[in-house]
Amino acid sequence: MAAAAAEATTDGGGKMIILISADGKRFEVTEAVASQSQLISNMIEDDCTENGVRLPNVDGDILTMVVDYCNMHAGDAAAAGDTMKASSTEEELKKFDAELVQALENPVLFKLILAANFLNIKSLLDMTCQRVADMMSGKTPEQMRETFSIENDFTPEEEAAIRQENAWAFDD
Amino acid sequence: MGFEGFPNLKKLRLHEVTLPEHMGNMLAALISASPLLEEVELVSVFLVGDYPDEEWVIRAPNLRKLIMVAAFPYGGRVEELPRLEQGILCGPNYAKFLTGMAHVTKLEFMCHYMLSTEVDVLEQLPFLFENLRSLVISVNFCKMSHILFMFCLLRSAPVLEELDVVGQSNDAQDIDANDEFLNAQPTYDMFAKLCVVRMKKVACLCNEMHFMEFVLNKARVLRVLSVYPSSGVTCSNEQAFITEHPRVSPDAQVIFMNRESANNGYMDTPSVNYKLETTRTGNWIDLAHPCKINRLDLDAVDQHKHIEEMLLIRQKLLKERKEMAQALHEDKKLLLNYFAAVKKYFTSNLKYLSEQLNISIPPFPEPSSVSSSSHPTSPRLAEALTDPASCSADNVQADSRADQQPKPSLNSLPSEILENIVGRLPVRQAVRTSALSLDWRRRWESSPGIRFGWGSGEAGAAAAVGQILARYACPVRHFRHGWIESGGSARADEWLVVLAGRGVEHLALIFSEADNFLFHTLHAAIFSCRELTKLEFGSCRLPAAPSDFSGFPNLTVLTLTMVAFPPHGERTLEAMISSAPLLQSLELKNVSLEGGEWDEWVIRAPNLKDLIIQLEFDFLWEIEQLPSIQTATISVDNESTDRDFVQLLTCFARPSYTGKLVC
Repeated sequence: MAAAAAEATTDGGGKMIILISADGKRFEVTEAVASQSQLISNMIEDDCTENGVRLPNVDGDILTMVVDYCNMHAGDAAAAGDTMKASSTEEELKKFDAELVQALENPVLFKLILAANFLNIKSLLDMTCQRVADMMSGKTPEQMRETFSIENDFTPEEEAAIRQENAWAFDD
Repeated sequence: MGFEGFPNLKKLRLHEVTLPEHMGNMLAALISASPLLEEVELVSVFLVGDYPDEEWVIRAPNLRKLIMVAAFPYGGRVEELPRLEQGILCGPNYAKFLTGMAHVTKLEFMCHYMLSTEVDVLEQLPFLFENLRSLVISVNFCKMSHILFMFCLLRSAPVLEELDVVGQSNDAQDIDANDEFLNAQPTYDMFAKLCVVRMKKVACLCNEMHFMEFVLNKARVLRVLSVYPSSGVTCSNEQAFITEHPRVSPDAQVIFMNRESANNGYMDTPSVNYKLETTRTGNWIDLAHPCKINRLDLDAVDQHKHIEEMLLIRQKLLKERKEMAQALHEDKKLLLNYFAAVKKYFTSNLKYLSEQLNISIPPFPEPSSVSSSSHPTSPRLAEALTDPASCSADNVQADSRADQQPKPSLNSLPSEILENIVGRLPVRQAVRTSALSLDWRRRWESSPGIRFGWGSGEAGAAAAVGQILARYACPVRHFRHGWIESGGSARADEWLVVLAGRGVEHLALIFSEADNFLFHTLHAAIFSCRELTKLEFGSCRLPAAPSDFSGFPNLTVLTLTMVAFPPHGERTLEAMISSAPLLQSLELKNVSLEGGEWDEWVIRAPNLKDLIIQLEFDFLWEIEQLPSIQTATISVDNESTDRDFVQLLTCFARPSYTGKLVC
């Protein structure tokens, strides 16, 4: 059955590929969509996607987000030729990206980062890492520890020495 | 071919396997078709008829570890291995594989017979090994090619912490690598983080001694230099010399082992030696002592071990502390669950009994009175028991409490991702992360992409800039200082020298106005910043460009405000502009050319879109046709010019031109 799906072609997107999450959920996407992942793109090039691509370290709920993201962004290259169309979709994309990443709780955001990293989807990795960087901006070390559940394992003396060393960075 | 690959394969080990003709390709295909592959080990794999020019490519996006040991120079190459952490290459013609290993943290490179092309590969390496912390390398100190190769590697490893050099010198030295030779090696930034150096199989040749002196002279944070002479070699004079030698690092200890010690890297493990010995032919592999029995000088070894242990002890303690905390936490969780379950059982039984027997049951005694009497419990447990809500005894209660505890920490992400995140921060925020926890202490130093920027409100930072630059181990793409006080000019020179070596792309230096308009003359290192794309200077003086100045080929924006040039500086300015074919924006405001006489000079910029020239004097500039111009503002003091403005206007002959001319 998977083979039949793999042979099937849609109007514009070319062959279909099946992605299988860690918990066994199956996602059918076009090659164009899937190959935004450098990992899968390499596999397509090497012709080893016929029986579906198992992603043993990506959960179904995360993969749903990744597939949504890739579907949304698959038009990037196609639309680039048509400037009018590109500019309108660009705005939509920005909005979509912002909404995707802003509402996420830390645990989900971290999982999404790991998935983007594993699948090697640079734009998604950039966007999610940027989100974490934005969350750090303007925060004191205490606030950063609080936000990201980082345990302070310095002795008070060590921490004081570090702050002393770069006092300019810690003045508020 | 019907071969579909092994989609789930994680480890591939081939030892002493012979592959028939042209199977290098097949091997590469096997690896490429196994996308999850994390470890590849090819030891004495014999590729029949595979010559150095054979084309095959190893592609492995998830590879963490690659071991290749061979006696012959085979073909093939490797595509970038983005996840590679450890690389072990033993044999000839493997330098080409280093081009795909930009991200390794540990590298062993052992080669007895160095091809001259291998040195070329390293000299032209387009990147630095920005994560390389541990390097094991075999060096024949008799061979120029070996020494150069090692230097190339060392130069390309800015954060190297541990270096093992395994000697294999067995010949007459074909070059005297004395101070002059060594100091001629461009060594800027080399050894910045190097703390442990082990010299093994040392024959006490003078080249080896020179290298050790060089390490002691250059490695500023060195802790230990240990020297293991080859068996049968005695070098007491050299020992005295090197242990007494002055050193730049105040903490450095030099330890001489009087017998060879065990670990000489992967190559020296008996099984590999044995295999190589059995496959060796010609002069590629020349192992003098294939299977040595290592006798240790116990005193020296103990001393050495002691020091290494001291270095590790802190880390171990910390780990233990963490584990203990975790174990405690687990115990607490278990206890809570247990209490909750007991309570539930108890109350439900009571309820059942009371219903069955129709007896009313007196209220459950206050748990606080119980817990405070004889059972010492942790505060949290006591709290859990006395908390009225928890008396409604339910597993859910314990669960929700457990949920609150281990929120996933940002630390659960791999360090390459954390570096990606920190690299997106401006410098002040990035440095702040050093106070988060021990793991974060030096993370910013290895996070590429940090934007360096300081403004007028941060006078206190000026002293720190140089130190921050020195500690930062990555290229510096963005550097801006918006207000350099007159006392800080000398520092600015130091920054420029550093930045020239760090591939700076965006550079802005604005000086506070100097007394009596005596501008600070910038360091000539500015002309070595070839990667510049945006350049802005304010209130300073440029030196004359050196004769070999080859321009800023990628420059797109050039902004000069109150900038002076020395006599004949028009040539420098002209060269800066015309050597930048991509230049899109040019602003020359109150630029002055010293000396009373100027040659005519031409602004030649085929891609220029925006031009602003505001000058008090007409310095005899001409403009060539500007086919891409969109806006232009030209303002020159009336009395100093008699130029033909009609001719000037023709340069802007372009329909979309929207500029203005003020004369």
